[in-house]
Amino acid sequence: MNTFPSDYDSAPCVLAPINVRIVPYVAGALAKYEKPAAWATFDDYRAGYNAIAEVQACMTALCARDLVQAQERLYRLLDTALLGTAYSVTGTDPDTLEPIISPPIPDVPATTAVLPGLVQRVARLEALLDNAYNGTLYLEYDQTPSLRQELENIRTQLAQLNTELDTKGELDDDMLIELGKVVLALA
Amino acid sequence: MITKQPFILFVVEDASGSRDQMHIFVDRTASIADIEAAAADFRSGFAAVSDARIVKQQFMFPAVEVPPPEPSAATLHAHAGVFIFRCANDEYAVVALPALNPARLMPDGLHIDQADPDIAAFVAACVAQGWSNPFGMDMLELATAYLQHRP
Repeated sequence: MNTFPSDYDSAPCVLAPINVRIVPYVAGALAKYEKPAAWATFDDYRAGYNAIAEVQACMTALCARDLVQAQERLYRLLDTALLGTAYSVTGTDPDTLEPIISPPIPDVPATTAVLPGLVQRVARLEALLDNAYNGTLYLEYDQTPSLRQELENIRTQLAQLNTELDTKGELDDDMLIELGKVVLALA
Repeated sequence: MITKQPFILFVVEDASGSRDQMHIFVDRTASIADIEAAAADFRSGFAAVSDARIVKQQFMFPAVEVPPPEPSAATLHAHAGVFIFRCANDEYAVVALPALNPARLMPDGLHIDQADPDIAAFVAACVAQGWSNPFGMDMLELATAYLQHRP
């Protein structure tokens, strides 16, 4: 005769993966604990019956596959957000009737990233800034001259204007044209 | 189905630990409450005149199929469809249906197809008829249903 554990509610659970093909046998073997004869008292019987029934419910409703699938969903979320990998449902598993999702999760994460992944987006922003400020050429960003070069050109032209004013006391037409260019560049 | 006379089964035990049974037949139109009251009166009367003690009683409402129908297929009774219901008071009820027709299973060979109209009707009947678990807690909803081998 079995007595139901008094510390059942505070005791932890264990995860015991069971091959789905033998679930009917393992679950069926628990049936003897649904009977009063398996327990020492009525209270033991009631607690034991409900605990065993809950285990049987969990054997299909909360199986290890659900936990693995939840982790795979989380991986795909991060993979799409960070690396831009696009996942899609490409069919239905004829055995489990669950969706087949492609591409399969790789053993190691990809070393390349594409849009709209965060990694690629940050890389493009970095390239944009580098091209615009430093003039470094990228496939997507090839603006020349750079802002740094433009500022240097403006500084040089302003220095020339200053020299012209010091020597002539006035600006000639050519220098006015150059000054107009500076104003346009700053606009 | 032929319904036979209901009766109360009393299991009695003497000082040596030896047990015997008594059958007291009751009116088939009597209510459960009336039968319980009658059984209580009987136990009092029994204690006054017998040196044995009553250790168990059961209300029996027997009925038999005459003639019994043929099984619809060769499925063994151990091939059971097990329906686990959530009940009031956070309890459960386990209903094991012997010899589940294999056609009622999902393609995975484990889960019972709850979309099957006959299965859905069976589940609805379990909930709607006020059935309970062994502790009187009403079945509220189906938690899961799958195949078990219950030899």
